[in-house]
Amino acid sequence: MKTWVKLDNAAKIFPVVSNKHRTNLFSIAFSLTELVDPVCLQEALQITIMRFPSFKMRLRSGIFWFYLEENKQLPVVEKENAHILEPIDKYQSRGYLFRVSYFENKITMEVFHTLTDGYGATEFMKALVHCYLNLQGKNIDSEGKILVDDENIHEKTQDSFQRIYDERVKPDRSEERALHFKGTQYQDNWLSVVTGIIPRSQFKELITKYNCTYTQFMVGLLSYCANKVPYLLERKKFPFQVFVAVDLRRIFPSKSLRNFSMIVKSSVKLNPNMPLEDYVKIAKEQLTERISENYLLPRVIGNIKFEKMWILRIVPLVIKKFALKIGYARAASKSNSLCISNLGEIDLPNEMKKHVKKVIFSNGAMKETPINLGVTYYNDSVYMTFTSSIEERDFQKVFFRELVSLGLNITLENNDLEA
Amino acid sequence: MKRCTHCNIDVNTERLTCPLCFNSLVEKENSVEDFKLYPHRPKPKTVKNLFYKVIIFVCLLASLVTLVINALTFKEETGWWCLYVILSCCYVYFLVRGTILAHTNAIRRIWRQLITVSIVLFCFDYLSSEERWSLGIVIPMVCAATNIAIGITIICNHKQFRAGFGSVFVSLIFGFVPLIVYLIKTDLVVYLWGPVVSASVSFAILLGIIIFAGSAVKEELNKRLHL
Repeated sequence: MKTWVKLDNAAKIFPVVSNKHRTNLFSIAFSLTELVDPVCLQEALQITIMRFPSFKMRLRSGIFWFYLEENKQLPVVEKENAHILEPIDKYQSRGYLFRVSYFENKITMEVFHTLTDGYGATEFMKALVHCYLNLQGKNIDSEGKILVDDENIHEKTQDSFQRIYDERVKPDRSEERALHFKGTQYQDNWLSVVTGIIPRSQFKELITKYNCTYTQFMVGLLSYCANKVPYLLERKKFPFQVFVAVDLRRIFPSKSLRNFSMIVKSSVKLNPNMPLEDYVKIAKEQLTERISENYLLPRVIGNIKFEKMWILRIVPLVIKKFALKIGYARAASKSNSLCISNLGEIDLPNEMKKHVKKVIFSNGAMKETPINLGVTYYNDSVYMTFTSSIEERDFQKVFFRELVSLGLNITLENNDLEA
Repeated sequence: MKRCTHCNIDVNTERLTCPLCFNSLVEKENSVEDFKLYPHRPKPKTVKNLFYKVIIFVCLLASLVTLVINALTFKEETGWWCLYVILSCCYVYFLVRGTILAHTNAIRRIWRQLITVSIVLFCFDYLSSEERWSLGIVIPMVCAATNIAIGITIICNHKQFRAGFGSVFVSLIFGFVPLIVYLIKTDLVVYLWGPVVSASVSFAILLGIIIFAGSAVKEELNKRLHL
């Protein structure tokens, strides 16, 4: 593999717009059945990183763009910090764009979005935990579900955005302002995490009644619940827009471990008289239309064309940063009420499942979108994790109470005690 | 395991109250102790970055006090002496912010010091006399010393060269500035030997880099220019 690579299209924006209030990190945590051995975990990390060259990188700034360069140092594991998704200190992390930490029986990986998306991070974590368990003497066969070999490195490190680029396709760009949550921001950049664990069979039964997918139902429910907390929203007549992260690999086949995802939005004008069924129906219609090649390809092309504009290419990075920050504020943060990211099924080898209790995914949160939702399915459970930068919990309360009223049994976990 | 009877939800927590509705939780029967989920949240710091804030406060206060005193006691002979204090405070601020507390590599810190010191010295020179000692003697010597320091840093630790590639070249090019200013506007630079020494040191180090690390320079240029 080359010692340096250009950032993929989705990754280019993150180093520019990230700061201590908007870290653009996400995390995946595997809870095991036993206490984690940090020495063994360190060894597993050093073995695993060699199999994932696209992760063995450091971020550098060039004259025109940021780029990733091979990192010759080895990463180190840390004890988990109480503050989740804190900015990664490049000296502490030895230049790496991710952080692997442990606490009790849990191994957590926090990743800067420039490096990879949820799919890539999940594959890395699966390989890391698989290696860790094997070093612990569990002798687990990968069953073809873990990336354990270093073949097809080129495919895994490919920029899939460039692969699907077609300059004949006309781009499409249109963004609308959205309603934002308002609340009391936590001091010290604290983020609260509330995870609801739901039996998958019950949730599946519920979805069947609504004749939709898991994500469509959750998006509809999020909009319905937003309606019930008007005091937490701005008093403006904008629509409530839920951004849904879509793994483009489902539509444009790719094995790349770098970023290859896109945001689609579901937009609805909140109406107190509208029942949940109608919100779900709107979400279903919009997401069915928008998670398709015909809809996504022009938008992906539009982003890449923007990047390829000659005037943008010759402008030095120092000046480009200002333009990108303004563009991001207009296109992304202002048009987003809440983001939901569904990683889907975390498929592990059967032997490995005996040693892994839970898999939880946390999206970040920031001032413009202080509440976000991350979802995973593992074994017989669905894990819905709200990450919030505001103290008010009314939205999460309404959401989970609504699920309980629909007949689901929920177990809650969270990351803070009373003051 | 506990239960919130208001939300009708089980809660796996050490909390006494529900994390959603903040009502009291009820302990469930036959609940088994499990691993802790998250580390405990520390108390938020009352004042963050205290040292940096003290420095800013002292610098601003000193600047304001001297400005007021100067304005109230202004005389033609002494002029605006407060500007020396204000410039010194600006230097201290950039020293703390850009060098001491900066999270960056050694070469970039050295280069930032070079720029800051040069600007401050030029301003002192401009305010104090018509000798024009800064661009003729002091700044070229500072440039030469900085570039020699950078050269020694690169020799002792090769990794610093790649890490601070941009800073190295900016600093070396800055070494030519006094000579360029002399050629364009001689009345700003009275003494020639200073700029010549500075330009010579920069040229020698550049030559050394190209000869001994030519391939690394080419590779770094490819990366930085995205070629």
